[in-house]
Amino acid sequence: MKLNLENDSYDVTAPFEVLWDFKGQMYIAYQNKILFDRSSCSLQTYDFQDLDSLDYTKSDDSNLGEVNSKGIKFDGKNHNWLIFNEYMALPFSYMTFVIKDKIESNDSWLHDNHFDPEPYNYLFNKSTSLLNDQIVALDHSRLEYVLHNFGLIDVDLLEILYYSQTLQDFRESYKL
Amino acid sequence: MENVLSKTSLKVSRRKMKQGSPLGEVMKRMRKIQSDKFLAKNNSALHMAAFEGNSKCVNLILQHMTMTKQVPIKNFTEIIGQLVEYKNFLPFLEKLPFKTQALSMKNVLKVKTTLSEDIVQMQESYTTFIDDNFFNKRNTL
Repeated sequence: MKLNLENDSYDVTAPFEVLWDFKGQMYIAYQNKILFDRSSCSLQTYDFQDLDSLDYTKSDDSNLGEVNSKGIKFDGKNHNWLIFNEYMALPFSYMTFVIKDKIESNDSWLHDNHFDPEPYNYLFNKSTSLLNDQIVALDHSRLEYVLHNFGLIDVDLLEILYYSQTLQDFRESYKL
Repeated sequence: MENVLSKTSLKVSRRKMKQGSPLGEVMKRMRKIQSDKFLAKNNSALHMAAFEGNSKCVNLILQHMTMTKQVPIKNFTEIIGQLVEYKNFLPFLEKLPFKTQALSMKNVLKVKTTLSEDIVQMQESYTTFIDDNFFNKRNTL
């Protein structure tokens, strides 16, 4: 809301959880996705179960529920973690970078393998696989392979295209 | 004396650069490129592909963006002018949500109590919507 006018609105399925970072940016957790208010995209990178099955909203101890509803629960600086009641979810894993390294070194074992979204569907230090790699700028055949398979597995995986970084203006601090 | 000379020579050289010497022009261009790079506030896959001028990648990204349920165009307003030239821009444009003037001036009414069962609250608004029930009741009267 800005000046009593609706600035933006999101349709999410229940149950959902609204999370905040230290900058006051909003994030909404629903199903197995996190909706980023800044980029207006829902990413499946954070590894947590569906909120339906997690059933974390129901707590026997009401005081514990109040405590858990307060405080920063999202890493606003690097987007590297988020915290539920007693769970911490990460948007990357060790295997993400192991497989990615093998792909980049053209490992012979990778030939004729099925597509695995693990090395491409991650978020690390506010950067995704498409922003880290040179495939977006230089390798269109690999980009097509990744996007085509994302579309076959789950169309929502394609929303990683919308994740955007905010660039800072360094001219104020460093005169060129 | 030497210091004064060196200062004047520096001033002269800077003035020469400003007046359009080849070195000055290069410096100007460098600064413009650097400033243009930093002026972009966002960076995404589409930004990178458009910046590199890779038309195949831009078309691929635009094509796959149309497959998603919603397109957050606010992330790409800076480069929308560059994207017009690309083949898959039209299907991408058709997918974009649009907002009418009435929708953009929509007010959200927050009330604690209602006036009556029929009237929720009275408030000034730029736009007024009258539904079909109103006309049906009016015709029957």
